Amino acid sequence: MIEQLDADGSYVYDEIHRIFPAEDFATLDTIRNVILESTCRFTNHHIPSLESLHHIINKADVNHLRMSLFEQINGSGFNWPDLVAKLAIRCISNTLGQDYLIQTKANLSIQMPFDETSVLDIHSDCISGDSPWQLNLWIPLTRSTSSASMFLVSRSDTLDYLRSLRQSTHCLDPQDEYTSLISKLNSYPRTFVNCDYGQILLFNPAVLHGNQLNTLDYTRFSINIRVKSLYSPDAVAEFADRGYGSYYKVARISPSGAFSSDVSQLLFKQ
Amino acid sequence: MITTSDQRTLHAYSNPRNCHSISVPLAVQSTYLRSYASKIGYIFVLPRVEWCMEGVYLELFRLATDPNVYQIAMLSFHMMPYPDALLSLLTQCSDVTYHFVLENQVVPSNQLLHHMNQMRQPLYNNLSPMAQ
Repeated sequence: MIEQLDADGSYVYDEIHRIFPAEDFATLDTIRNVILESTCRFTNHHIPSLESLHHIINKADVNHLRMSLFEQINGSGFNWPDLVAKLAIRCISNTLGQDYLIQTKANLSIQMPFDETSVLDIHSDCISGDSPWQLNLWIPLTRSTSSASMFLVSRSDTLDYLRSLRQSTHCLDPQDEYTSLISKLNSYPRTFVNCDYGQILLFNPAVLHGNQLNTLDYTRFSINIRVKSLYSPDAVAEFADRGYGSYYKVARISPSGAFSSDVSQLLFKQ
Repeated sequence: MITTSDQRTLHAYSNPRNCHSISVPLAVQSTYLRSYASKIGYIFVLPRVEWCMEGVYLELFRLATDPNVYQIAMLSFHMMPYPDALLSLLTQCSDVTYHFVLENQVVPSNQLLHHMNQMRQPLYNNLSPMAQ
């Protein structure tokens, strides 16, 4: 996958994904420190950094911690439209425009060394009816390198796979067809996202992506939350749980966008 | 070598499609399966999500043929392929136990076909002449 260093210091992958420095480090530090304090309180242990989590918790308990933190970051103390604006407003606006939606709930990932229960195998978010027009803001709260990170497959390989999958829906021999698809899926090169703490990835989750068993000696924490232009379509109407209202809410709307919306309501709404 | 830990790990499978009028948001499926795993004392593994295209069961096939997977949980048996060559394949090529949580059924793969036939059999076909 081709990586380019852009004029603003961000890295562009495959022309559609971007790694850039957090636009407000203090906000990122605050989020990380709150998560660290909550983790210490939950486990009754002090750790100097989230990267040391695996020293004090085992994989059977990590889901309980994850759910506790998930509830916290989606509680009243976290205003994600504001936090995301502080961390990434320039990058998002440059990519999506000024008026955009944000996912109603942020997600938290914890990937401890050798924890196979945290592996999210190769997939595309569009599998489940997510809109291909959305982007995912992936915010590491620790280092994020090689197997402790996530990987991306190129957009050309993703499209190749989707074409093959589309053809397989009418197959007569599922074993041969599916075995061949799995083999193809595993053959695509995977580019691991390497981020230092302080860097953020904005990527299109319609591409095949995932993670593998973390064979490094530190735990990776990351938060991800999806954003989408207010004027972009959903995937299909039947996946209502992936649309505006359930899955997204308005994050920002410019005076111009608000005015246009008012005009539209007054003139065109039936 | 199969370890106790492998056998006590529950791999979740979720399906975003409308399966025989059962259409449950993925977040609800995930929460329900996570709660089920906790209730029966299993380690929960994040759900493998099926493709939204009709007739595709690739993710289920990948899960069922993974040599490290012994327990698969899904919301309902209606999420299984039926009638389909793939269902026969799943019974033959894997040593997996399926948990159908809504129906409260736990079925080993070698009994899957029989179980599915039983569950899908319309009751009125079983009425005896005496009942008429």
